[in-house]
Amino acid sequence: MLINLTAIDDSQLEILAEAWLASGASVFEVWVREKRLACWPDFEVDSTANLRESIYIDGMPVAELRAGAAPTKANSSRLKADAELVSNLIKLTANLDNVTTELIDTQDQLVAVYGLAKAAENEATLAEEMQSLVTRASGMVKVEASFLICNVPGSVTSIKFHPEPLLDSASLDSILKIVQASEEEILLDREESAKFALNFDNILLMPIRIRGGVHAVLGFVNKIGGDFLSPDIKLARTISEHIGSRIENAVLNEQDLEQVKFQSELELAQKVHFNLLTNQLPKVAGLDIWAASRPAKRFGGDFYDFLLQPSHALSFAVGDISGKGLPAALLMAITRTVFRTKTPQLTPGLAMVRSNEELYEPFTKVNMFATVFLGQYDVDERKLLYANAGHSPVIYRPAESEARLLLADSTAIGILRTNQPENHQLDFQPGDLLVIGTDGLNEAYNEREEMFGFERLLAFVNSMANKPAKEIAEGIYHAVERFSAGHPQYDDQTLMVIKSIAA
Amino acid sequence: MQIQLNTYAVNNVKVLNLVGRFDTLNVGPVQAWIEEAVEVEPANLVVDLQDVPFVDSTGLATLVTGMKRSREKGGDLRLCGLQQPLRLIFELTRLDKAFEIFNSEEEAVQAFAA
Repeated sequence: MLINLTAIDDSQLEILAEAWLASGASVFEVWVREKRLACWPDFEVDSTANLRESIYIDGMPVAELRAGAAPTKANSSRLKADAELVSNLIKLTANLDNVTTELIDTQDQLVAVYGLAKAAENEATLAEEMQSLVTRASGMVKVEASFLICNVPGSVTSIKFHPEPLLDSASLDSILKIVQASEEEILLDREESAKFALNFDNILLMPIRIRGGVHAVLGFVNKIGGDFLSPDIKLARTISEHIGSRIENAVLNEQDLEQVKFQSELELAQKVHFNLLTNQLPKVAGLDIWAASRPAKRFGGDFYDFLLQPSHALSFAVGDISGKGLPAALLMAITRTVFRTKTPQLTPGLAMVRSNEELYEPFTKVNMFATVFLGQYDVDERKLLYANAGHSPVIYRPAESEARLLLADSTAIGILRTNQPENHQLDFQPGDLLVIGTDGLNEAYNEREEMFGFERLLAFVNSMANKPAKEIAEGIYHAVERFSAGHPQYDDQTLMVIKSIAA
Repeated sequence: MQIQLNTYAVNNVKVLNLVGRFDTLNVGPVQAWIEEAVEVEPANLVVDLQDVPFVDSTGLATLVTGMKRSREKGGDLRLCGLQQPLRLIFELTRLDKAFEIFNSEEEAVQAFAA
């Protein structure tokens, strides 16, 4: 408490003393623990002061004001008021000192952390940066040793020591678990650290939050010169927050990198998918052919395919895998391949039966199915053999009559273990037209929640029947687009138009 | 629009009455119902589609999965109440050959007793 008193300016006390002397007092003194600390006008051998009043701080008498004056009530009250004034002055001075110390502390910490950040900037890797931070942390908090345990699941794992490893991995593991459980700063003395089988004078453990959870601990072992005090803990907290933000940045960068890798793989997959879909249109004598597919999402489950066979036949397929996105696109690739291998040797009906046998299990495992239309055109005979496994819409428009739907006689591939689509034959003379679409066309909706439907599709094919295949296809796409303007494309839309023309 | 599921049991037949569009965005709750329903044998299920105006291919695939799973468990998944456009979808895909389809829920339930 002596410090508190000496902290206040002597001149303040002198003002009080002079006022007492001016009003006739013989002497004015300041006493602490029965020792005279200050005296006005001059030190005398013996004090002649007869009035006394204690100076209280937090209820405790810390010093005394004494005056040599008439023992009147007025003088007693005056001395009491002066003692209170000095008490307040001491308190204010102490508060000011505290604020100043705090400011200096904060500034010291900022300077230290700035130095920490600048030094770590030069490190090439996160591991090197962490080592550098742990080493510097040791010096800044003034401890014998420091360590960092970091375990971000699926990302950064790191253990760093300074100056040397002082804990085995089991102890580190248990320290991480203890701090993760409490989520708070932990300060242990020798006795307490022994409970955790640690042999240190004292140990300070700082939790480090990364991505919302405690995934790392910064540890300080054996404070040089005694105990960890409030400024040490504050500094340790600042350093651990800095380390946390560095690790968090590294984790985010890593995720960004993963995301970029995933994106480029996805783009590659999209190219593969696109190549599977954009077959070169075959040139076949007596046929005008056009086909295209428009996926609703990045990947679609629709497909079309052509296969020119040496026996003067053109095989073609249009299919629609149930579901959307990448799973449907993967199954589309498999389905297309299976049909490619079956089609050359077999009639469309038999190719369907065999493909269903092969695809039933894989389709069942992933809860999907595929509708498929498979055709085979005999160039010499101008006959068209086809089989339809649950596929629609398929529109046949003979040159001399109205367009009609070619309905499936069996269900889609992958639904029943045994599935037997029959072969059907059509004459395909010049002017005859075959339009094979997928349900994304007839099931396109407009703003009034009406479906494009088969009637519009059939009417459109009738009206366009005299046009070339490409114009018919583009006309249909255009009509569906116009119809569903403002309504997002919900399903893949695939179209194959085959028109018989004079050879 | 969110699909509504009303479920109840008639004797040993579990009935699911669906209300609303049954498409990719809505199949989750139906898949969950099927998975739970096929756990108890006999897996006799009826899905009433009377109030379903539209089923997309993912919805159809969900029903097909239910049909396959219940048949593996000695039961079946039967459909009833199909209105036009749905009837048309089932005819075009020939799923009417794969499923047993009834006009009313009573008929579908009774058929299990036969």
